Amino acid sequence: MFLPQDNEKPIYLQLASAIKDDILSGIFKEDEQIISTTELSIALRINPATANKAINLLVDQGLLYKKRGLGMFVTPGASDKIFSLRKELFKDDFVLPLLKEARKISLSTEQIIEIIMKEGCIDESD
Amino acid sequence: MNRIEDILKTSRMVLNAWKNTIGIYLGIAIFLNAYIVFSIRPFISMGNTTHSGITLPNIIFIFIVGITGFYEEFSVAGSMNINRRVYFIAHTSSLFIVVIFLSIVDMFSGHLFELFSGVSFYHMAELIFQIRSDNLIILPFIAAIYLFAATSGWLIRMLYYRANKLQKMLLSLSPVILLFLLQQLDFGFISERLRHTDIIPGFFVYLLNDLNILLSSILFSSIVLVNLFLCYLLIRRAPVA
Amino acid sequence: MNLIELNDISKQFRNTKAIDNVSITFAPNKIHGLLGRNGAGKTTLLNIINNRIFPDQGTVKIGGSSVKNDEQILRNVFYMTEKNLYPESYSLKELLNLCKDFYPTTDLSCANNLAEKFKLNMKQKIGGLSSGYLSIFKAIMALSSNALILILDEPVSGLDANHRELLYREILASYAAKAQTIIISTHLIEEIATLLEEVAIINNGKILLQEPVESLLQKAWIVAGEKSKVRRFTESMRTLRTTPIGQREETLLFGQIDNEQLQTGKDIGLEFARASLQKIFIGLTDNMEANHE
Repeated sequence: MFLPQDNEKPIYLQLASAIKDDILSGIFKEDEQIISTTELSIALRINPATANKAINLLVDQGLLYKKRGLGMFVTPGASDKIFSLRKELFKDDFVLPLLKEARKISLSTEQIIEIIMKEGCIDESD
Repeated sequence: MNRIEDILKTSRMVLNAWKNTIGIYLGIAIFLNAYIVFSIRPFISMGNTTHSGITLPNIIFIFIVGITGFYEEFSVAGSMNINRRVYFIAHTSSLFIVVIFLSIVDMFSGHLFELFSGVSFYHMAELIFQIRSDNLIILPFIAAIYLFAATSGWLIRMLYYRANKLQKMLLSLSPVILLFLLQQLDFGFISERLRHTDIIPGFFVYLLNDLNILLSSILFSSIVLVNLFLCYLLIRRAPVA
Repeated sequence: MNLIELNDISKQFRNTKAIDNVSITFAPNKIHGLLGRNGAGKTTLLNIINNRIFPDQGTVKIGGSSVKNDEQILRNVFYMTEKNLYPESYSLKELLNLCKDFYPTTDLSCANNLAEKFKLNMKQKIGGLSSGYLSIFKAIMALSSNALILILDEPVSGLDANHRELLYREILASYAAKAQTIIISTHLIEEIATLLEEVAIINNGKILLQEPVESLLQKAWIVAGEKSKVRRFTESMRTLRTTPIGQREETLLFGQIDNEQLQTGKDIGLEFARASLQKIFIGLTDNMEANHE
């Protein structure tokens, strides 16, 4: 998974993001059990309450569900949900910072688009 | 009841801690005593050969147990959050048990060696009070003396445990001061008739030109109670580490 | 209910007031950190909680029962002291059996398991252990005791980095497996930060703060940028520590910054970062706070 960075958002949010990443990349599949909070807390060396908070957040977001006596499972369609959510956040998380940085170094919008087109083509042809 | 369980467990811990010392001491003491007794066998025919057992070594030994048997045991009990009151009861009970055991060994070994060697056994108490050992008071009397020695040792250790540097120094000097005061008796400053050589017989209650074992036992028992009370007062606020 | 309550505790040693009017509670079933510099009063406070020494004033209650009067309440607490109280001649096995005796919930197989993980040879005597392994043994006893309340005073004292990490994980494993209250006192803050749910900071015998780690971390920022800009931004705020780097300045702030202020700051070219628990601790206990006019 990852190691908590203390200069960013609270650990439980970082953990929630990491789990979402793993759902997206297929490490945690739908209707399959994910790693328990105990294992999480020991492996990542964090307080179990923090791990629980992350899990509960994902349950609230409808991405995980609890099976009594067994543990936490990935909700069907979670992957798609995360996918579309990330698409929505793409503008705020990536585009706006990109534009801001571009302004700092005086890149025009056309220049930005040119770079994107060039890199995008190379990327897509893989 | 949890309290009683704790007292039993703590007593067991204390006795366990003491058992090696007691075992080694008894082994040596009885062996030496046997050696002495059997080595004077050849002289029985010459008349008036007696032995008085291991009473005196026992008194000294149990006094030392009193002094040394507290600190480590209290620390271990304290480390497991055993209550001080509980420890006090356990420690006192353990001393009682050891004292009773030693008293029995004292009498028993004496009579045993008399049986096997033919050397007459006169217990120290019999010699002091001019009585025979079939007098039942002897065993409690021995126990009282042993307890007196043990609790006195414990009290001395408790005083040291609670004392600061200055108090420790005064404590170390106290035997000297005591001896000095006793010497003063000889000069007649305190009393015309009393001499320092009267103190010990006085302890054994020299009453009306006759030593009385019952009263003596009571006197020693009272001192034991005082010692225990003082130990309790000292242990109540005793710090652990 | 195993709430640990301290009320108005004070303790004086000769000329120093080691504990100065401390009132604090430790909520049950959480991992608490008691953080303080050397000599801040951590051990004294823990000794008072466990009735090892007596306060000049104040009361300690666990689960509503006074620690002074109730003979049994502290039997639910396993206190791992920094100072060694075990006689040198005792063997480790003997001590573990004593632990089982006095703490019936002790799991001896768990203890042996842990000993293996730490490569601790149980056949030794206390006197033969290095200081690091003595700590390890005490920690193993504490974790295997399964007491309702664990109080660990500097549990990683003398441990090498590998053993420290191992111990942290074992503490978490023990805690995750059962309902237990754990208080860890330490001055190694960076390492322990992620284990703690709540933290109390003690300095010169006084409690500076006690709150959940998470909310504490939300309250601290490092603001960096051009000197005058930083100073203007932090004008009415509580700054703990300022580091000048040429024309730049880096300041540790203690206080909330809402999103608006954050944006404003970023707009004028300031950089913002979260402060670690250690940085906050150093800032609060360094006594270097500057007074803003």
